[in-house]
Amino acid sequence: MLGRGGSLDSFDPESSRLHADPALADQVGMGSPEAFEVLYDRYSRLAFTVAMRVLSDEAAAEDTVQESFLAIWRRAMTYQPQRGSMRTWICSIVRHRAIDRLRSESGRSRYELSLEESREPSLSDTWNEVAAELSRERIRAALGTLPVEQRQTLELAYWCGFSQREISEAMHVPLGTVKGRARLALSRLRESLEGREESWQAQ
Amino acid sequence: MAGTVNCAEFEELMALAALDVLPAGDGAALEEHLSHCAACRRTARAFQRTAAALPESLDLLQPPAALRRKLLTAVYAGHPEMRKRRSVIWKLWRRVPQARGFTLVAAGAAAAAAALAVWGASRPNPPATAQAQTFAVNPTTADPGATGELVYDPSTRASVLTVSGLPPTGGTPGASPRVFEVWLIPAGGRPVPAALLSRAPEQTAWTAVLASDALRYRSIAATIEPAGGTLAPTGLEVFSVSLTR
Repeated sequence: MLGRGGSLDSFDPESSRLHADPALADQVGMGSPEAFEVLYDRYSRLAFTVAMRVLSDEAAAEDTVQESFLAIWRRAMTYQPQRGSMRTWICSIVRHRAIDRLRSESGRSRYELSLEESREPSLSDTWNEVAAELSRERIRAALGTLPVEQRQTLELAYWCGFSQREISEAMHVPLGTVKGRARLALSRLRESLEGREESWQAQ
Repeated sequence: MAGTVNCAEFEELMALAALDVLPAGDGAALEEHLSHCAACRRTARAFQRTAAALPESLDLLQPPAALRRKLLTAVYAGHPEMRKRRSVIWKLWRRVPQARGFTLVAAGAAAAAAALAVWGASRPNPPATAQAQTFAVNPTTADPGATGELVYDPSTRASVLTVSGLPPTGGTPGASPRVFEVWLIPAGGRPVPAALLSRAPEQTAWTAVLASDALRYRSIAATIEPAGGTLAPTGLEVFSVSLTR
């Protein structure tokens, strides 16, 4: 729990900029407050931005980020680099907590969803592979190419935590259409972002 | 990309999963399909990557400064291994002049009080001066030579423990060395892990800084535990400190 003896002493906050995420996660997992401080400074803006995007309320977003980072502090040992980037892990923790809060405030049941706290993707998410090439503008441009109903489907699912059934009710379309739009939206975005000619076919 | 009807249906489930809205009942079927369909695994990974890009579309906002203060206070204060504070103690130890005949314990108390003062000053609200309280280290039958003090600073509620006369930690040669783990013992409750004792290479005394308020507990004990410490005491008790007056 407290580490492998001696390696805690090797963390030097001055050289923190050189510490890649996995090393940092390691140090946080071993209980280094200095490493946690570096982690917070590295990701707090993104975390707060995500929380605000979901909640649109600064006090609620602040609470959510605080709870999320305390959870990260307690559970840093559970982070596995091979399962995805730290950036995505933190984003998903914050977003899930924010959505939970949003849902409970609006009285929506969460039983139909398999949302778990800090649920990591079940397959390796290789964000780092594409991160270097992606810019904010490019992602926004890619989102802009989506038909409005696909963009709305993404918005309701990803940022509002609507279930498939709730999206179907909100958009007045059958469940099958919701699924189809989700698939089309991600396929199209993927094509835009990865710049490959995917021969995806609309069903 | 796979062209079977089956795979197309699973692609829809993968999209829902990437957006974290896969209905609970569909998870098992999707996992089963992915376990034997490499093409769909590639698609699933791609969808995860794509969804992970969505937060990157946002303009970054600055969180309130109070949030950072609250978090770091919680993390530093609750943390048993405060190496920054220990490094302050090392520096103070080196300055204790041997020639003045300070006993190890007295030097430790002086260093401890100074360390607490430095630590207190580095916190957001520097404390007003207050009298430190000292508690004696009591040896055990397993270690009759243990001697030392706990110095408690009421303004920061932190304590510094200084102990000497401890036996070697023992353990199998070649394995990670065992440690002295310090426990805070509440009245009628389970021992709470508080710190591991540390020692500068050229010193004979062991020290630890306890950030938790020791006076909320009845006593302190220290045991020999495997490297890295444990969550509950398992080893030989080497000393105790009674905190009730």
